[in-house]
Amino acid sequence: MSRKTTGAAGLILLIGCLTGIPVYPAQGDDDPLPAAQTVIQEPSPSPYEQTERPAPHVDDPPPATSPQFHPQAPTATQAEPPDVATAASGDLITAIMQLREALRRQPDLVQTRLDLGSALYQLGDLDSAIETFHEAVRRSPDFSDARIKLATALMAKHEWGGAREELEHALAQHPDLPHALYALGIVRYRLGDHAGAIEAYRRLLLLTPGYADAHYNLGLVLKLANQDEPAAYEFLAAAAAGLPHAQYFLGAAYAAGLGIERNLPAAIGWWFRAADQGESQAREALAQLRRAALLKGPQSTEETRAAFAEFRAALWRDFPDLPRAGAGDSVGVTLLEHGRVKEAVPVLIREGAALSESAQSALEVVYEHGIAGQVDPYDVRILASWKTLADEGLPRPRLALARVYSRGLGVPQDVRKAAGLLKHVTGEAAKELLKEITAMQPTGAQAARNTTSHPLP
Amino acid sequence: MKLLAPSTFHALDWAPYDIWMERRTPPPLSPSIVLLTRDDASEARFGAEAWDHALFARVLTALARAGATVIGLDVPMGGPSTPGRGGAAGDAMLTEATRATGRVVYPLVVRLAEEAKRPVSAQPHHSWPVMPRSILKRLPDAALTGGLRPVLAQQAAGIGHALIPPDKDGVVRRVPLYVRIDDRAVPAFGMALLAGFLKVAPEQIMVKGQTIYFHESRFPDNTMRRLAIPIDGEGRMLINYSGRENQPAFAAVTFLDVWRAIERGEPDKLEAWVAGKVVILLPRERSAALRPTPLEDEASDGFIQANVLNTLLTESWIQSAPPFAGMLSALVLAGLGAWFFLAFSGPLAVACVVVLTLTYIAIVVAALSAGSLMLPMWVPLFALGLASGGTTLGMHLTTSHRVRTLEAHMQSVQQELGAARDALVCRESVVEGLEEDLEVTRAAVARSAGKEQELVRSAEALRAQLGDAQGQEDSTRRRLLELERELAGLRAASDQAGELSDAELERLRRECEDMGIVSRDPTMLAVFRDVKKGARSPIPVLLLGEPGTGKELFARAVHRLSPRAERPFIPVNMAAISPELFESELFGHVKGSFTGALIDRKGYFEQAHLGTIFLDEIGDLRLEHQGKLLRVLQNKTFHRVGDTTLTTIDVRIVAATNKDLERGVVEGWFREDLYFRLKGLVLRLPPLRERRHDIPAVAERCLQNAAAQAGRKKIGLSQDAVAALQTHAWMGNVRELQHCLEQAVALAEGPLITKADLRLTPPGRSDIASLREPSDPAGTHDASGDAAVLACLRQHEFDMQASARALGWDRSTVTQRLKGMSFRALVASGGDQPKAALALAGDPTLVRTVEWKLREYYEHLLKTIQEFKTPEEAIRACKKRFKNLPDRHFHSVEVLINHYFDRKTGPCNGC
Repeated sequence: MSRKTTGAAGLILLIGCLTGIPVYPAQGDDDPLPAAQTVIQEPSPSPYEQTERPAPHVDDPPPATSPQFHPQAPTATQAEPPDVATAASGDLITAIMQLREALRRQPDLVQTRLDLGSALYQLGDLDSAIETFHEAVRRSPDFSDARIKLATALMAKHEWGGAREELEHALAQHPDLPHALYALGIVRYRLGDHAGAIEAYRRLLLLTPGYADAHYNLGLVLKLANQDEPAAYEFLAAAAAGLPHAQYFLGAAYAAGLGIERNLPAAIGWWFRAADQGESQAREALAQLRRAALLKGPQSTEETRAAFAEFRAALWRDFPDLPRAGAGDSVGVTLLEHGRVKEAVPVLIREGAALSESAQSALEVVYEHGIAGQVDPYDVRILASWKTLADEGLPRPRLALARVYSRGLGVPQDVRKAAGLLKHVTGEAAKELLKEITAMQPTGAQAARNTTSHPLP
Repeated sequence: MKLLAPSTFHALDWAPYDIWMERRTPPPLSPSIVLLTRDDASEARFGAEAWDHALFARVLTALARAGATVIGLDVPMGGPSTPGRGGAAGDAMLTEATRATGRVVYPLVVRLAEEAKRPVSAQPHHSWPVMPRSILKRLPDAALTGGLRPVLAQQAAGIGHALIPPDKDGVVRRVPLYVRIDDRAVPAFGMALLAGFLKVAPEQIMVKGQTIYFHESRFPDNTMRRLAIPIDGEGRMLINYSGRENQPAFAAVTFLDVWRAIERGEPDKLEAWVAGKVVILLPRERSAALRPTPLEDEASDGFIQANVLNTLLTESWIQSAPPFAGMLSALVLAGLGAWFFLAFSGPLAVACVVVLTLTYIAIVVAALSAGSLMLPMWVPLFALGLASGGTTLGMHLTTSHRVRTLEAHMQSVQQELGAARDALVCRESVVEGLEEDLEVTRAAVARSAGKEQELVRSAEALRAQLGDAQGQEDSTRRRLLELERELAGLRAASDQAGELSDAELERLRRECEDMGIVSRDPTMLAVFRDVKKGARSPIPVLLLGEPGTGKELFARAVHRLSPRAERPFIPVNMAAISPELFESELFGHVKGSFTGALIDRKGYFEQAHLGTIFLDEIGDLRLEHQGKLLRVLQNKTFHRVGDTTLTTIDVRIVAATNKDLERGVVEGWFREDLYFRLKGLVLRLPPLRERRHDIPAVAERCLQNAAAQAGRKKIGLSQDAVAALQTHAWMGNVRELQHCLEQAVALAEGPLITKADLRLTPPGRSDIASLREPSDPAGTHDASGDAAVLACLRQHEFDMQASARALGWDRSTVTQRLKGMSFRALVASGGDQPKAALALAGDPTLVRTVEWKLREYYEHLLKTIQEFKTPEEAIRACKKRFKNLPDRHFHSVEVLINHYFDRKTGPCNGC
């Protein structure tokens, strides 16, 4: 696919959702700009996040919870044009011909003209679509839907100035058009008009106060306009609504004290929530923090460790009914002790990722032996968590994973991999495991021994 | 005209640098540089257009976690991202990643201030050093054009300008390490990366003279020292390119590989790639601007900046010489070039200049190879060329002017010389006459004592006249000597000025051969050069020379080298045309115009229309015909015989003669106006005896022609035959040589012609023979003595005194000898003075002098005998009067006296 086509297609898909214009059928996972035709609650992921859960995006359409735009339908609909919104791509040309024939007979059918424009847009003929929408606007200057569709097509063609003009015109006639406000925010940002974009989003939020994406987009523009404090407020609203990118940015704001009081445990908490939804930058941020916590010496390391500890302590608040014996107790272990195994495992995993040694030990036991009737041995959630942490270089998960591979616990036995995982891991347990591995395969173990030089932090 | 564009000169100037860079051993490569490149696979994964900034955010985070010391992201910090490619979310992600990693350096889109149409104001970045105004003034003035996202800029560890101005020929060789934006010094992108990598804060950066200092730089080997970076006067550094972008020498990883390592959780791999290094991300789409470098036609800005960084990190500087070095080199070379042309002759000077040029180029290359020092090339060599050319042109102009002046002077001197010679001859004759009269008077004194007083007075008067005449003669002689010396000097100067180079001679020789002219003689070749020059113009050509010197060949050469070469060449021998048919032959006739004119006929002129007509033997043209010919030459029109309408022609005239037309004009047998009409370009062909070196080659050509005509295969000349040919006088020039060889070929039996086969008369014999009288079969006269005297006279151009000195005689004896030979030659020519003079002179140039003398002698003889009534009395008187005349010549005197009296009494006898 050529660059031009790719860009245009991506934007067509995107704007299709925005304006209700039907879009191309879903494409495969390999497409660099995958389906924006997913339902509005599932905004399009970035191309590099195909395997992750998608996050809302400044360019994404407003969610379904936002008021839908219902244009005033034209009065005369005798032509009964085909339903372009549901037309398959194979039928598109037939539909266009029928629409054109209908318009030839009755040129004043505005909705039919819009349908024709939408069909042309769907076909990728942007110029004809814009011309058709222009004609619709000329025939019905007060018909907002025509202007919005025209603006959409102009955006697809990167004619940002024209798009802004049409949207502002439409909003001047009908100030309560959420789609138009949303699109106006996008267009104004693209034109470098941060203040205008902020104004559009704020108007949108006045119309739809609970609109999380609007909060998120507003937060982004505020952040890029160097207004960290209101940005953090908007991120907070969006994060609370569950938007993972907003959670990440909120965590970043907490971590750096950008517009909000610095609070590393809170940052860790938001990042964990974002990471749970597949937000990769949040995962990276947590990984960075964990590495920082494992370093020796600097004050920031101590602060990071304390932040993780505080985060772990905050977990107790999710279980107010659970008795707590001491400050260092693990929530997961306590849940296990109280037989609440199903709740315990995710909490243990979270605590393990938050550098809890006791949680890690408990996880090792649960993984190897399971809990009769409640958790099977070799739980894949635990294994996945260890893999992630081992990749980050955390010694304890590496040791656990090395044991898993050396003994073939829930995975095919792979002594070399086990030996490799023991790189940079020291301590008695590691030595013992290494001996065990050496006995199994001298070469791999020897290689592992040679690389085991750094002490555990 | 494009060849003269400044870019051409610039490219020439840098040509050795570019060639050297392409062929040298690659420079050291810093292991601390890693490029993250965009390839086809990456584009297949992330799209072919500009990538989402969120992608960069994730890569930056991962690279920072893997231990990259500094990360350069070659994405301009311009306006907001386009929706669909990240939009605000991508921008925010990138900003956040930049802040979180704290080690990202961005390029800044700037232009030179004079090129920036809409400059944008820029907030100074904390990484930009503060420099004194004096330093700032030296830096290129730049303006921000691409915008700067303030929040991203705030978070960036460094921001460097992406200004890579190409040289005048469009090639990027240098980069300004700092540019001035407002009142701040903005480092180049590569420089900003270096500062980040060596952990050099802005306050540790200083500029002194033409060096930038990075104080307390922390190098990868953990040493801390000062880094000194040489720059030129405009703050630029020559980039020491490591290689081509499509075959990069740097460690390089693709975006897709890095992405996979991130996705698959392979931190070790990432760490191995980037830990402790400068990572430069080059994610620009392929449509981004590409620039030519000395090594390739298309290199991206990011790659060029990577090379800048490598040059800085490896400290592999290439220094350019300061501007004054260029000026100095130019002055020295120009001075030497001019001196060469002033001090040496043309070819030697050219050789010296070539050697000097090559030497300078070698110095440039050696300076680059050994010292990485770029010396200026074009300006010094241009100065050398200009100085050399200017000097040559100046000399040429001066010489041309001098030659023209000399030629004019020479002409006037020649005229003076001629007049002086004439006067001398006249004086000599007067002196001789007076001497003879004195002798007679003395005899009379002895016989008649009564008249002694009267005779003594007469003798005294005669002595006084003689002394006076001798005084005048001496004076004229001195004047003549002076003039001759001056003329000799002028000739030498003229010859030197018109000297042909060996190469030119060789070229002319080849061209001559193409025209059938065999000669290596510089004089002959110089004539041919004049033919070449003059052939293009329509002026008439007059060829002078003895018979057989090749006048017709030169005439044909004039035609072939002229624009009329494709048109007819009509040779006409004027001497061979019957006087009655002159008009009909030359101008044609119409049917019935005279008896026998059965059809219309075109004359030679009409046949030669648009071509060339060669009028050979023009000196033999009758006077009445000269007028008709002159009319044609003047008007380009004529009437055919019997025709009433005019015929117009366009003909190039080439005429030739072996006669002295100037003398003809003087004597009245050649029309002066015709002479001047023909005398457009006058070419004098030297006789064969004056170009003896040509004789073997000409002989070889004639021999082969003769052999071919005789049907014989190979025939050659023996060495003695060649020697004999070279010593022979060849009064008939090439024609005589040709006949001689034809005869030899016909008579020779073997394959080799010997001296005997040539049957040549002994040297000089042919000349003497012409003087021998038929009535002197016994040969009683001292022929060899006369021959020696005549040779001596010819050698001294008939200067009696000089000849007498050379022979060791007194002048009177030489005079008597010449007088005798003159009378005999006059008899032999049947009284034709010019013919007799030519026979004596041998050389046409001396004919005029000899003829003067001959006329004087003859008139003196007539004056002596005219008072007598019978030839016998006259003969008796002359025997007394010319008693010093050798007896062997007196027979000629008798013949002349008898002839005089025969003519005197002829009409009466007739009566």
